[in-house]
Amino acid sequence: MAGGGDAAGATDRRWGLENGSRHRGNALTGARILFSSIRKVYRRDVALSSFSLAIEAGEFVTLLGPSGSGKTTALNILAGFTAASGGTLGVDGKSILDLPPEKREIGMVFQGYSLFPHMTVAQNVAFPLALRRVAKSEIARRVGEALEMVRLGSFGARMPNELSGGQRQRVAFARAVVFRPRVLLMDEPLGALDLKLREAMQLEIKRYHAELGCTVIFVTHDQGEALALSDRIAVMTDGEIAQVGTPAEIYDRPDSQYVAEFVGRINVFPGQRRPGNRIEIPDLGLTAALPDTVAGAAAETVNMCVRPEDVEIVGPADASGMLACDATVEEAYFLGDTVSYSVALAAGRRITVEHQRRASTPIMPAGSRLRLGIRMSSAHYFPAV
Amino acid sequence: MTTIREAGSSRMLHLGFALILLFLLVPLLVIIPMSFSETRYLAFPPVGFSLKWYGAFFQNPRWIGALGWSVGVAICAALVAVPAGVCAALYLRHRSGAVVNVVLGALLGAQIVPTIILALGIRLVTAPFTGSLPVVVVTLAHATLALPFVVATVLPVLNKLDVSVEKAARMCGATPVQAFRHITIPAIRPALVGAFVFSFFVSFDELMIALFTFQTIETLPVRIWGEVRQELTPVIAAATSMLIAATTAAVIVGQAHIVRASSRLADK
Repeated sequence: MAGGGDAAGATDRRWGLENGSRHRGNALTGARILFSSIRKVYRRDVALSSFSLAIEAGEFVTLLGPSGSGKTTALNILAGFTAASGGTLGVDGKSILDLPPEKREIGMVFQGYSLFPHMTVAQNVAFPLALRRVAKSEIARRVGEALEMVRLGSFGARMPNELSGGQRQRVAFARAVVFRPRVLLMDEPLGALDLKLREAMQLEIKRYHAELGCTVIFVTHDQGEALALSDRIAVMTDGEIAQVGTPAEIYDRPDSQYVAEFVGRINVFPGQRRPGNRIEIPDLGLTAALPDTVAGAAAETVNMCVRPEDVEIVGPADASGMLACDATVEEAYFLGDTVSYSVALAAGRRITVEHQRRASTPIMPAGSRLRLGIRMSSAHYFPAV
Repeated sequence: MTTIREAGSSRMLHLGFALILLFLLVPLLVIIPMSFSETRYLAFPPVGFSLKWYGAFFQNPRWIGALGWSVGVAICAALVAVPAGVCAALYLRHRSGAVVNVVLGALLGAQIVPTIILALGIRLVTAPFTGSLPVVVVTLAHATLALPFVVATVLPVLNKLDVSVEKAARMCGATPVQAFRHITIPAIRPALVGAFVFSFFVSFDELMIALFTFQTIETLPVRIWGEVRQELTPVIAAATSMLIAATTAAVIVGQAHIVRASSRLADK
C-alpha cells in the first residue's frame, strides 16, 4: 500500500502544520531539524543573528529573503560549508555542527546545476553511491530509478553539456537524492531557468517531495516560488527571521510591514492614531476604528496596508461597512485574468488596484472615475518606523 | 573615403603580419630542405634528395644519447612543473587580479632574467658537484622556467570550474581529498595535459642552462650546438627539422587540449 500512503502524505502536506503530525508509513521519512540561536559573525558584519527554527520531519520549508538577508548563510551552516559562530544545530536531536559536509548525509541542489563536467549523466548520479561503496548492480538499479523519477531514464549516457538547463537541474536533483538523504537542501535551484520552465520545475519539485518524503529546505528570493511550494515559509531580513508561517499566514496575516511588502504587493496608507483607538487616514479623508489587536499606544503614526486585490471597485451605493474613497484611473495594465490599475486618490496618493476579470469585463481607460471600497477586515496595521 | 582608408590600413596590417610571419618562418623553410640534401655539407638550395642524414642521426649513439637525455629531463621537468603549477593555480584561484598579477609576475621572473645569467649562476653553484646532482638541478631549473606556462594554462580553466561543483561533490559524500582527486583534477584534465606538453617542450628546447651545467652529459640542443661549432653536416639540419616537427605537433596538441578544457566548462 505504498502508493496509498504516499497520497495521504501529500494531502497532509498541503494542509501544512495545522493538520498536526504527518505520519508516513512506508519509506524512510525526513529528519527533524532544529536551529537554536545560530549566529554567524564575519569580521564586521553579522550575517545571521540568533537564527532559531524548528523544522518538522518531512516538511518543506522555504527561507525567503533578499540577498544579504542571511538565508544562504543559514543553508551553508546546515550544509557544513560555513562554521557557525554560536548556537546549536541538530538533525533528529543530534548535533551536526562538528561534522564536515560529507559526513552529514544531506543532499543538496545548487543554483548552477554543478554537474561534474567529465562524467556522464549516469556517472554523475552514481557518484554518491560509488563513494558509499554500494555494489555495482545496486548502483545501476538505483541510478536507473533516480533518473526515471526525474524523467531522464534514457539520458544516462549523455554528457552534461549536451543537456538543456532544465534537464541538467533534474540530473542535479537525481544526484542529490540518489543516496536517500533524509534532508534535502535547495539553493535557488530554479534561478537559472526561464519562467515557463521554472513553473514546470516547481510542479516537479512538489512531486519529488511527495514521492521521497524527505525534509526539504529551499532557499529563494522569489516569493511566488516560496508561496507555491512551501509548507512553511521563513521570511528573512538582515540576518533574522521576520516571520515564520504557512504561505497563507504569511500572505494574509503578515506580522510586519516588511513581510507585507516583501511577499506580494501592498498599498500603504500612512495614518495617525487618535483617542478611542481610532486611526485617521488623510489619504482616504476619514477616521476608522482600529482593531483591538493593534497595540502600541505610544506609536503616533500607524500605517494601514491593503493588498491590491483587497481594494474593491464598488458602486456608489454598496460601500456599506467599507472604507470608501473616490479615485481616478491613471493607467491600466492588462494581465489577462486580472487588470492592474494604477489609480490616484482624491487626496493625491497613488495606489494599485487589482481587479479580477473575465472575457466580458470591460477595462476602464485612463481618466475613468471610480469608487473604491476597502473592507476593514482586509486591512493590516503596522506601526510606522 | 573612410572605408577606402580603412581598407588600405587593413591591407597594410595584413602585409605587416605576413612579413613578420615570413621572417619567423624563413629559417625553418631553409633548414628543413637542407636536411634532405645529398651533400656532405649544409647546402642551400639542397642538392638531390636523401634521407641519409636522418639515418645518420639514428645510427649515431651520441645523437641518440642526447635525445634520450633531453626526453628524460623534459619529462621530469614537466612532472615537477605541472603539480607545482597546479598548486600555484589553486592558491590564485578566485583571488583578486592584483594578487594574480604579482604572483604571475614573480613566476615570470625566471623567464625575464637573461637565461645566460641564470645558467652562469647555476653553473657556479653546481661546478664542484658531479654525478646526478647536475641532472636534478637542470630539471628543477627547467621546471621553474615552465611554471608560469602551467599557471597561465591551468588558472583560467580552474576559475571557470564553478566552486559549487566541488561543493556538490562534498555533499555527495566526498572528502576534500576525494573531491579533488575524483572531481577537480578530472574536470580540468585537458588543461593539465596541455600544461604538461608545454612544460615538456620548454625543457626540451632549452640550451643555455643545460650547456653550462652539464659537464659530460649532452642534451639534444647541447649536441646541436657542439656540432655547429665543429662540423656543419646536414645531420644538424635533420635533428633540427625533427625538433621543429615535434614542437609544432606539441603546440597543436597542447592548444587543442586547452581549448577543450575551456569549452567543456563553458556552459555551466
